[in-house]
Amino acid sequence: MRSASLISFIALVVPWVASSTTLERLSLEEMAAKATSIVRGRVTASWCAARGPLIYTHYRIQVTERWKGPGASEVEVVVPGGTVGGVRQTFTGTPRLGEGAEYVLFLWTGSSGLTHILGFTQGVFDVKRDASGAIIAARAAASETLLDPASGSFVNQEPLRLKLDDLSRRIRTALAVPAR
Amino acid sequence: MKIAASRMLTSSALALWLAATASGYYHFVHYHSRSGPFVPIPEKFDLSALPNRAVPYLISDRGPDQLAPNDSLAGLISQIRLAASVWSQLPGSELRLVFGGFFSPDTPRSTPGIEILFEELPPGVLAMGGPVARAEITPGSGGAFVPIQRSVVILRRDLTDRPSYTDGFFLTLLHEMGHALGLQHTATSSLMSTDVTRAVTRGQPLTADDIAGISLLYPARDFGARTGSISGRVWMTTGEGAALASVVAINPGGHAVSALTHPDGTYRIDGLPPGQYFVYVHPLPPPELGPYGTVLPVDAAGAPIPASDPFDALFFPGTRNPQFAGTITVTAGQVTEGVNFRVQRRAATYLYGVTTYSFPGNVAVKPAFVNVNGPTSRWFLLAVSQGMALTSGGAPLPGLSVSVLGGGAAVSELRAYGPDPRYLQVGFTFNPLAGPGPRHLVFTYNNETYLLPAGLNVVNRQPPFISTVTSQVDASGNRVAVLTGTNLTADTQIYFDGVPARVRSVEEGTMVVVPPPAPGGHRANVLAVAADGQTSAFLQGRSLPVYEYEPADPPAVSLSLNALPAGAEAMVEITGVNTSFNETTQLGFGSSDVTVRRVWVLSPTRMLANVAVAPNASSVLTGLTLATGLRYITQPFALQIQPANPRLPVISSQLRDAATGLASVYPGALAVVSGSNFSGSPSSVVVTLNDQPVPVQSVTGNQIVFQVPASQPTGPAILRVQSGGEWSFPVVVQIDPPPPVITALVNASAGNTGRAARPGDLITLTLRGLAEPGTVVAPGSVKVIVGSIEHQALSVFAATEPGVYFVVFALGSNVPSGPQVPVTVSLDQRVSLPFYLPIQP
Repeated sequence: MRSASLISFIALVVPWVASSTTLERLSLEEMAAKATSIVRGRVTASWCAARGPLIYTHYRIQVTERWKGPGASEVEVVVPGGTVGGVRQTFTGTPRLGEGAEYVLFLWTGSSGLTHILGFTQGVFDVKRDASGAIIAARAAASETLLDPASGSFVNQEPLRLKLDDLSRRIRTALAVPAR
Repeated sequence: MKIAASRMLTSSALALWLAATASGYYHFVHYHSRSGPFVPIPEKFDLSALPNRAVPYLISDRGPDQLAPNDSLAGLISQIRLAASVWSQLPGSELRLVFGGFFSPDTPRSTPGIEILFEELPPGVLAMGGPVARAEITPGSGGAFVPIQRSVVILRRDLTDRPSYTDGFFLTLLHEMGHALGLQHTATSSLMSTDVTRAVTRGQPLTADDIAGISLLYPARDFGARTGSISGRVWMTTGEGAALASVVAINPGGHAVSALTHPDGTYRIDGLPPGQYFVYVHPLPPPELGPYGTVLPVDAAGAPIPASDPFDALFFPGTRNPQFAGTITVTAGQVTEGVNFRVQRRAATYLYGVTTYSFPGNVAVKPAFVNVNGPTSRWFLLAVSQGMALTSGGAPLPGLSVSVLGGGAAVSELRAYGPDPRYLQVGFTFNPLAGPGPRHLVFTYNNETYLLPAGLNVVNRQPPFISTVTSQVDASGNRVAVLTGTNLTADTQIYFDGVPARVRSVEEGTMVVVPPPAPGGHRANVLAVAADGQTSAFLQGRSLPVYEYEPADPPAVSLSLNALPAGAEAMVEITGVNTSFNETTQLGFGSSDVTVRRVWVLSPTRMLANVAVAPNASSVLTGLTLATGLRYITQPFALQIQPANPRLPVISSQLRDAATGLASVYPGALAVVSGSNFSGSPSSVVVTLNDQPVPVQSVTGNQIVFQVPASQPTGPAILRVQSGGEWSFPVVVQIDPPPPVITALVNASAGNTGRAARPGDLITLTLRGLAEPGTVVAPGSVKVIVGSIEHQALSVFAATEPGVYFVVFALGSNVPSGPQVPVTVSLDQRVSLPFYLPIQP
């Protein structure tokens, strides 16, 4: 049998899909590097609006903690899909945030000025207290071990559920390392 | 053990094909209420409201901003066109996607269609697709539905790391188009499964499940007659129905077809090719049931109806062990009823979403393909689960077992994969008598069972490999591409980016193909696709060989018409310079409101097209896009849509035979041209064919009946109508040869008994005028319609008398009975006059 160390993986296999939206898997470190802001906050309002051919659901987030990005107390985030005037645009797999719910969000503001959730489901961590009173950050979609086409190596599996303090520490560590 | 389960069941004819327990499948579903009986109302395009019953797709003129090295916009467009053609060529579905060209997203449009957009997507998001609909339930001949107003497929503006020539890009595009057409996810390793378990390739991009899903939305006339169904109910052991459970019918050596249960647990799986199936039920994987998963069905108020709790997967007739599962016989045109399950609720699902990889060469590929004629050292795959680790401490998880459903292959060993022990290595032995095809893996752990359809694909040779591609000139002075490599065989297709190349010759290790037209200097990525689904990307990854075209002068076109009122149709003559129009040329006017009804290519530099504008189209300026092979030509300001002219006679290019109503007219026939703004009497109306007046028989407000001269040559002719002193725009009409005539019918099964025909009988028809004398007619192109039931011809052969053909077919099991059942034969668009046959039940 051919030496296993020679066996690498190709781009044929890379997309990571949690939903009908086709996602590319990002590590926490990559998300921290690519995000234009990383915030903890609570959803205070949501509404839908059309912009060109797309309908977006807008969420207003009251920011309570910030790891990266400009220091505004509120941020407006958009997610594709929603209903305007009785017309529904549907994309399965896009995050749906709950009003009043608290999240850690990895955000990305593009040249359009719209602020998106980075990697959609990958960039949303629910913030809740567990039975012991500890604050937990959990990502709803299951992660998986996948194969990184760039390095040909296996990608470490990301934790789905961790203490908020631990998530905060990992974000700070990732931000302390200059992006390559 | 096999149980003759079908004996316990009842079957019923598909007369109530869309009755109360019709399949919920995995569409975007609405229900009238939150209580049963549940009749699913899917979101889909209303083909009856679309010109030519076809869905136009348009490509945004904004983007992409950046492409990968060796990628090109021409290549990207070719992949989009290829993806549209895949969805347009399905047995059982009448869906057709038509090229609409480049469009400006700001241009108002009223006709539904699919828009391909290049938008700003955040990092980590590659593509999206989905429908836009207003929740207005519309009655339809196949049942109520919610019309899709338009759909979008969104690709990234920056495609630097997603070359359009990769299998990954193509399958993602195809998948998102599936969403745009009305499909959600399935759990059968089909194209519409998530990439975690998707087991398709560019060579075999759709499975039976995808075909059933799209055919249910857009069924061809004979879909229900050619396939069968399984129905039943899934209950929790606590008594209530299990909602949104996935019920799967799976053929051990073939693919799987599934349906989701309704809120009361009832289900029906439609679109099953006749055969033997195992049937099992499993909960949807947790990611599909989370807040970011499957779009739940909604009630009349738009409130979602949730799925039931997770439960233990179960095989029919109620066993977790597939060895004790029974098979169900599916018959065409029949519903096998009573395939019920009683499932045990469980706290959570852990074993799901297994991805498999194999190693045909030095790189891993997904889905896993194993060559039984290759080295036994490669008879393994790697598996990793989305839900739980399959290994522990450098060994397979204790208690985990893996087997193959139904035989043909057996698991020989399980171990942790050496280079990364988080992966489970599964080794196989193969039954040398079992043929190639998909094999389904059964994983069990801790009383949990998970079945992965097509987790392993058995093949009997290595993937194709292209070593070199060189440009040469053949003896006739034509440019050809010479490919060298391995496993390049007569059934291998060669793609230049997204365009198949015509194969000129194949010899040992060398293939000569005709490169499709492309812009001068274009660099096309060359891919080989084998009939077994493997592609050269299995061995070569993204490093595909490149064919570089010779420099060439840029093409240009001019149009005979540059303005058309709303509601009108007209012939447009397109003249090109440096063009290579051929039978694959497509053109679009950048708006779903402008339809190209038909094209006649007269030479590489001249073509005619009938172009129609929707009656409610806005007055906008649209552009023309012409695509041939990899070459596309754009003309930004090609056609001005004008306000409707109430005095202008408007005519349709689709003539009908006045006697038969069929959309084919011939010399000597009375033809009906439909339209509007006709004056009332034949004497005030002039009709010309190729500028020669023809006799007008009658005129009504929207129809003119005229005589096609017996001397009229067959082929395209230009039709014009003058009415009320105004001339219509000219349109091109097709004058066909006279229809074939069935002159005799012989029932070989009845012999000389004189009895009426009955299902199963082998019948031979004698026809005149089916094709030009001397033409070889492929049986696949000939259909025999008995009653309304379509039959495929088994053989077609010429008689010794010139122009006479014999067509042989077997009378289907579901034909109507009666003393005079009409039989017609069709070849392309031509349909014979009916011949009447007595049929007994």
